[in-house]
Amino acid sequence: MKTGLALFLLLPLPLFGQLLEESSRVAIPVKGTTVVVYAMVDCAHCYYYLPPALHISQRQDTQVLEASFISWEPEGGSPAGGIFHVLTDWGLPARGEDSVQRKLRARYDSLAVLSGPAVVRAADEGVRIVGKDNLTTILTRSVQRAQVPPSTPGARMALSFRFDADGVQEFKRCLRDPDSVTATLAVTYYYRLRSAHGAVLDRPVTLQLPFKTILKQLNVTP
Amino acid sequence: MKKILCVCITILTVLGVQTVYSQKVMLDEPVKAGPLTVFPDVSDKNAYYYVTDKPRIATAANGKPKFSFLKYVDNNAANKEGDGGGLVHAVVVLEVTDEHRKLAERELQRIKPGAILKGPILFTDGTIALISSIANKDGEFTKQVLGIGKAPILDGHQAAISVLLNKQGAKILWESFKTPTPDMSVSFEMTMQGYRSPKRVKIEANFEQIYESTVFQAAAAVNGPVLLSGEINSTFEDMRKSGAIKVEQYGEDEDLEKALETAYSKLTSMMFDPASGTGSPNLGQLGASAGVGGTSLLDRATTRLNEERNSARTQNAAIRAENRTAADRRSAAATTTSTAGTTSTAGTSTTSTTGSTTTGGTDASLRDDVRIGPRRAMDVSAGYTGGSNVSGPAEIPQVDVPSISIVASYQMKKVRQSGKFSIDLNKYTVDNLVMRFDENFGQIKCTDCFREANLEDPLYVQRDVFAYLDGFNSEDFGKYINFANVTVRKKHEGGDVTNQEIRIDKTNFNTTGNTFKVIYGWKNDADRAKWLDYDYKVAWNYFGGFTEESPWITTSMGSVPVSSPYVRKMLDIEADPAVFEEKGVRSAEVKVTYTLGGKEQVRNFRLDPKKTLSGQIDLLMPAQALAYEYEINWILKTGKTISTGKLPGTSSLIFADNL
Repeated sequence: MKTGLALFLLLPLPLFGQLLEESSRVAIPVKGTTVVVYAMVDCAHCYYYLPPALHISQRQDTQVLEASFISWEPEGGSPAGGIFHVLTDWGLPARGEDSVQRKLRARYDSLAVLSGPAVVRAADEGVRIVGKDNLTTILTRSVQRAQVPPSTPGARMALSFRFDADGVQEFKRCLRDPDSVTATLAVTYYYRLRSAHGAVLDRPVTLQLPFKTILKQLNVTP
Repeated sequence: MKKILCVCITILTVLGVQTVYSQKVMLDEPVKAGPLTVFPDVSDKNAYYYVTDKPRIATAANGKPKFSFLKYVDNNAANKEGDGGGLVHAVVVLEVTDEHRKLAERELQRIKPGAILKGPILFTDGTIALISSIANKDGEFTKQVLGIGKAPILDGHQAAISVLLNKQGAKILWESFKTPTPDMSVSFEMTMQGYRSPKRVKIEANFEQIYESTVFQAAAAVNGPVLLSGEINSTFEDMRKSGAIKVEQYGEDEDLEKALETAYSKLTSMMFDPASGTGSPNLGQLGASAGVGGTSLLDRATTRLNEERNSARTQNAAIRAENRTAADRRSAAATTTSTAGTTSTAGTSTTSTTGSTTTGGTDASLRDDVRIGPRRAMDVSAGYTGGSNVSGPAEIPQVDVPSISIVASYQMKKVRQSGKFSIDLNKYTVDNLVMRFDENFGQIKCTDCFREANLEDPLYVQRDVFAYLDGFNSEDFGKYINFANVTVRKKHEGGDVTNQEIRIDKTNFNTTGNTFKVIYGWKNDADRAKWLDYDYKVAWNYFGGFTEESPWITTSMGSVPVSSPYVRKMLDIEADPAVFEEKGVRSAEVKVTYTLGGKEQVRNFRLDPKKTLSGQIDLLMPAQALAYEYEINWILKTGKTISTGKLPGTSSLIFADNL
């Protein structure tokens, strides 16, 4: 049990880095989500927000969600298969940042300036697919590349999944019944806080994007 | 003294090196300016540099994307479907558009009035990769992937990527490019160099005093305990309070905690090694009870983790209480609205059917560090076209309760440091920042960029023309034909002439099995139908030196039927012995004459009743004709000769007894 609680890791903690004041934490609701904002330790009226959520990326020119799925039937000795490609990102749009800053000034600090997202460092484990359903297993074994996730807002992260015939069948089943899907894309970041006692803390924040959300928004062309 | 000098040089190298790098940006103070992430200049806090993190397909001078997808087929007569594949070539540019720059400048003014955007940050290094199941290097669908690896590091510079696909890969990727998000994204991992904030703090310590600490003395013993980084820092902190570690601070606003953290980190690295070489203790070290305070390393780490978790949970309890109060207020307001009979739904719902996260989650690995996200992933995205059913303010998210204790463990070095430790943090320190950003190729709006091609190139095509001797066998060569010469002439559209020749004689007739071939190729023959046309002629050389040559014949057939204009015809000569006996004929001679190539040819046959009165002579005649002259001379037993004189003959049989 103890080993389950206390894992010893040697993380590459930088000598320096942006330090946020734990006591300055405020949570500001914006358009159905809540943005957590901290003041920076050595900068008066400078505020930074934590990564709010993972999204499916949208193309800037067409506003089309960046996700696609294609599958093929067996042909000429080649088995059936499929490919699912999706891009994700996190961050607040400019209007969202304006809104947060307005509320920050109105409620907490009249001179507050929301400078952007907090400096975060992705956990070494990178992108994870968590869940307990069959799709979780299939997605985990099918992902072609799992790099270190982006640490800046708006930076996209592409994921490509190569399904075999069974994977295609399961994915199609989940498309018909997305609410049954528990598979979730998860990325953990760390940010640095100075506690009220002066200690420097590395705090995790995990962003999630349930696959059922993706599947509901995925247009599959027959 | 030398050791002190070495220590000082090491510290200065690590912390104080000022590079010749001309751009000096502050890594600690990034600003999100519209679509761009910008960093302030070290010396001019009103000057900002932006990160070039908007890769896209480069555009040619004619406005078309620098992209091509060639799907090709190579005809294969042996199979129903030809061989083939695909070749994707793309030029990717790392560039920020003017529009992005203007948006960033405008947003920067909101954040910091008077600030200016000076230009792009120069990356020091970077890599480019493809994220694709199809165009995956060494994947099942590719033959070769070129161009990945080193990325362009300057704004506006381009990188070329080329992917050679097999047939199935080409088919699938071709279909994928019909979707808005094809299975081809480019991924950059770029390194930028910058500076961390300076601290006007000077820290000095005497190693002799540091080693006198009880904790460090125990750690220095043989098989001494492994120390947690927190325990080491705590010991340093005690020394600072006792004056063993001296801190000089030049300004009141400096972040002393960060400065001390830096100094402690340096002292730790000089005095200790990471446990087991990595900082992760082995199982023996974890459970060893001998340690600080007589407790094991695991116990001490667990205590530290629990302290952090309790702190977070206490904070979360307060947040939950606040959320409950807010929910009650909203509920009361909704009831009031409902009672008043309004139909508005605003402010009554904070739940969603498509929520992106759930508190606690269902997976053990997420239970404690789950971040409460938005009710709907796209609700906060600019330009999201889908409807949102979330109208009220969301709950305040709780802080993340750490599930792991991020602590490193150390063992004291065998070699002791000596002398004074001094670190002056009043300088900017160089550091690197690695940034990742991906971009999908998207739908390429360029019909010219997608081509399907059959690789049958006329340049490489050759025409085979076969020749067969029609109705002949090798016996004919031995009896009247010396050889046949077939000449093929191809007059190409461009004016070139190809001449090919075959000599057919008895020897190669037998060895080739009566199959002869000549070829001609492609020489600017634009008209593929006319390219098939050619001329041929056949020259025959017969026994006796007679030669017959056909005129040029034009044909487009793949085979040339070679038939001799002259054939060997047999003329039978018969006589009745009874007539010869009755007429007293001793012998007879049949003389056949015919013309071949303008020359008279003569054949003789003698009839002798004692030997034979039947025989054949062969004549070389045009295939469709039989015409000759003949004369029979009978020599009687009386010595008298009787002659028929020259008679015309068209029959293949001469009766030589009608005297």
